[in-house]
Amino acid sequence: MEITLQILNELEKEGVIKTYALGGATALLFFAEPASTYDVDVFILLDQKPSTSLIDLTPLYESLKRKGYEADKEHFMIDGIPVQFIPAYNDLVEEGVNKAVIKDYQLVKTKVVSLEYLIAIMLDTYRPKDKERIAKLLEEGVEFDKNKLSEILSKYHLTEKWEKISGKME
Amino acid sequence: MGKWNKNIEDIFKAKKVRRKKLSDLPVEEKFKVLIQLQKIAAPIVKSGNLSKKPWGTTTFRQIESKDLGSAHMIFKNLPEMDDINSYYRWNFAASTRSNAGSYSVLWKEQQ
Repeated sequence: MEITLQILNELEKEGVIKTYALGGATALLFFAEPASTYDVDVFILLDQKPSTSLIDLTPLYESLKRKGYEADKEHFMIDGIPVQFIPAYNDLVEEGVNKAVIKDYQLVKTKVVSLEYLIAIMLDTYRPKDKERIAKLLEEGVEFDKNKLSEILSKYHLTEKWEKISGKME
Repeated sequence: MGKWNKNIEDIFKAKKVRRKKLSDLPVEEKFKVLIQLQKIAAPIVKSGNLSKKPWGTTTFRQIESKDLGSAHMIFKNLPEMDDINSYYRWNFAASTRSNAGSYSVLWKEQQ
């Protein structure tokens, strides 16, 4: 895993991507008990002109290929781990990436979407597995900043969904 | 629904304690747990015709990366973990990178 994280840092350092943050179940690993997943979701911000409506991932793909990594369907296999690069697709995800927290994995520092933003993103996507993951977090009693979460949920109109799901857990 | 039997209550309490312990593990250990979960689930996933493989089923192909200025590992996914047995393994310190630790490198056996 450290090689995968090292590569992400290199991509950022080389300017191939503006910044990144781990998301999804892999990010949750940094805060909660392990949940099964088969890929690493990496939210990325690209340094592209705001006027460009189409996101061009070619420089990223070419850079990864130069480093010797090959695409496998929607993933890039890095150190035997399927990594999916997901350009920030809305303001919430973009803010989550910009406010990512730095975490250590062995000797490598990596950026991870904070737990409060992860919860908000899961509420936003609201797939069955998102609901299940939120329920697990609540069951575990994982600690998070309630004020910070409340601010994010209010800003992105997710409070109602949160009350619905957290109310069921009480 | 009636009240839980005391024994069942204890089981659920124990589960909660176990989950809390899992949650408090260092992230490196959690990744190991995750890979074990993937290995356990692999046959079930395979029977559902999904091509999901546990992480780390990789091997060394070549060391080459002039643009990075240091040895760089390029891996290729292998169908089976056993294939790794034909490779030598050793560690080296990637001293050219400030934040790099020791990498495990799988070096193809010289024929």
